[in-house]
Amino acid sequence: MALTGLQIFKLLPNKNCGECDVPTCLAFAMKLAGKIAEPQACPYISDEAMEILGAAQTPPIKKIIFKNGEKEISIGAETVMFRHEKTFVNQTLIALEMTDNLSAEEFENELKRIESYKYERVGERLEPECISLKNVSDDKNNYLLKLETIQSKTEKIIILSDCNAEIIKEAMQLVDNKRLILNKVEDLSETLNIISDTQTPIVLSAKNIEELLEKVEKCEAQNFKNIILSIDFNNLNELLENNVLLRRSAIEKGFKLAGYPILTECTEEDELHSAILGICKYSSIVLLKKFSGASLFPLLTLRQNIFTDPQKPLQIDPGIYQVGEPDESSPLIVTTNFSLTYFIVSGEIENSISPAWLCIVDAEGMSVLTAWSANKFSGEIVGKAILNSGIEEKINHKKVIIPGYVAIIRGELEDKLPEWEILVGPQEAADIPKYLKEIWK
Amino acid sequence: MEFEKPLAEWKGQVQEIKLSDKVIIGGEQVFPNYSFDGKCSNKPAVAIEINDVFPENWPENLKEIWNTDTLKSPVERAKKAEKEFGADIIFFDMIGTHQDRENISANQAAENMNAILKAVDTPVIVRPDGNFEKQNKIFAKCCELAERQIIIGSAKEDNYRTITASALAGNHFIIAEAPIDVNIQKQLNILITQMNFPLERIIMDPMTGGLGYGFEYTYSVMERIRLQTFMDDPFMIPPMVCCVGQETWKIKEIKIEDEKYGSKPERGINWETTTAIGLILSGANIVVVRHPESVIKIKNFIDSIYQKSDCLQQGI
Repeated sequence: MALTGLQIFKLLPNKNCGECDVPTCLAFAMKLAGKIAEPQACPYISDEAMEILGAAQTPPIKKIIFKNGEKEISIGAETVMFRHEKTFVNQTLIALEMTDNLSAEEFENELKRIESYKYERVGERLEPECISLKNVSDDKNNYLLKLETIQSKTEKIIILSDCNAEIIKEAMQLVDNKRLILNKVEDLSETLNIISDTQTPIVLSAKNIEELLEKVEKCEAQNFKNIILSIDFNNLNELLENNVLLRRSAIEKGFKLAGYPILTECTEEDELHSAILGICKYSSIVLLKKFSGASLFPLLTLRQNIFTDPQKPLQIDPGIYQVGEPDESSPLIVTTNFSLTYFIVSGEIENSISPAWLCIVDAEGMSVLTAWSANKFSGEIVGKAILNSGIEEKINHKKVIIPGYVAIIRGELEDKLPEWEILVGPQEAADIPKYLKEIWK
Repeated sequence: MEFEKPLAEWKGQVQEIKLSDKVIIGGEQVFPNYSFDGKCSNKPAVAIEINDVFPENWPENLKEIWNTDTLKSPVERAKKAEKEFGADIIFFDMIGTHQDRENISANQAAENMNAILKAVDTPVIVRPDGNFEKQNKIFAKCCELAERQIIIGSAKEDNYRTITASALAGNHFIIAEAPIDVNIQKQLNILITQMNFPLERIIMDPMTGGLGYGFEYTYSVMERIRLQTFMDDPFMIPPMVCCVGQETWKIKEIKIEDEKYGSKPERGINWETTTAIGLILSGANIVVVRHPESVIKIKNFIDSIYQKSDCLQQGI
């Protein structure tokens, strides 16, 4: 359970030495409570305090780390029920199922199709990061051959599904353990023996929470840490109930047996629905049986939205953006790099059917008025951004439209850009189409 | 093993509103659909958006499914939305009243509205467009001349008086719209009720950010609003409506030509469906969409998630 700043303060030496780079112990305690400092930073902290703080700092849901090429990907480590309370930490992984009964050629083509599914969006690459290989053929050599293909042609995390202990044993020789998850193992106790040293993450599945917790208890007794939970469901209401109750038990009640990431096997008939529910309501992995390009795209975007840190709004990279297909006589509009501002402004320019150049200024992700009052959207800064953007080579005029709310920076901007004409645009983005129609002919 | 369900104890309840004999929204005492925590009452309703003018900005595949001739007639659209596409509610978005568009007059707008009210049996949400002066004229006319009870929108923090007075006089429902902001929403609800307008006739529009375009702000604001409801804040009880279609069918992602991401129509439907379901999960009582396939998919979701509960089906 999380401690408050004052509870933590009582555990500290109260020397106010400042060696932790915070002037007082109270201020340090507040930082610890906000999880923006580590207890190790205090040179005089007692072992007892360290232990209490260590336990308090361990997230109520177990974190499991995977290797995805050069990067690490984690699941779990969640601390809240609602994203606005802090943030949802590790985004739901999206897994696509492949079966081993395809011919070598079909298999490679399908793999290629999955591997090529990527989309770049606000500086992030959206893609499914896991492949689940389901053992249908029941032919060890064939299964391992297909596994080898995935392992060599992609960097994705691999879920071994429906395998017996013998296959698992050999698969673990083939693939880096940091890339593996075991799902639906045929013989649990035998498999546990094989993975006792490697601690390969394993999915425990059950028909209901009670049965699941019994399995978790057994695994914990054998010292297994990397557990993933999965419960069958007949309808979405059951999925919702199980996910919410497990998350609540772990986070609000500190119930350790429930404190593991959840894998949701989406049902084929309402795959999109169960995946949406899983992403919004606490699944750490959603497993899709059918690869539909048209479903995956909104799901990846939903996931990006839900797992955005509400305290650090998405920022757009500063620079020049094209809205429509602008040419050298198209208008130049300037605004801040707050994602919402960008989306609304670019959306309205699109609505105007008049293509334009959009200059995005680095205002630390603030909206126009907030940025201006924090001095991040001054004439000086906007002028510099325009001069450094290289836009002068793309347009044959020297006119720039600034947001109506910051008409006040016009003079300063004129000083910075003496050869330019500064036009004051509308205050609200919704009025941009009309403005462009009237002013820009 | 024994497992003690950690149940939440909430106090407040969303206002239940009877929009027609068949359509009742709100009434829930828990998040949707946390039937294990408590009472859910009524399923969310799916509304379909129609306009008073031809929607030239819609993508071709959306126009095709509606049929171009149908789209030219608001009345035909309303009938199709109700009878063929299964709308629980018609959302009549009068974009043609904007002074920079067709500039349809207030009298004409009221006439158009009455034609819709006559053509369908569903509840109808009516929303004019234009500057405040123009909108206010239409609020007054529509509320005065409506041949049955309507839901009129939108009251905003800086323009709520005329609409509130008109809806009060005509005994209509009102939509209170705040810019993705919990505090402004509450303030607006209070301002409207201070004019003696009953809270029981307000529906909140928290404003919808499209998926990938600010969706997460709306999602969290709605969750925060509902947390306040269930912590018994008397001013935060109205049901919520989300206009999903308008924020979906204009975005770049559904216009990309690339088979890898599926066909454009299917991608658009899934985008609209995903957005609507996400917002239902954060508390929407009405979602407004454009594509008939989305209506089916969203209703399937609602049926599955509201399976284990005592709540009522819309339209029965």
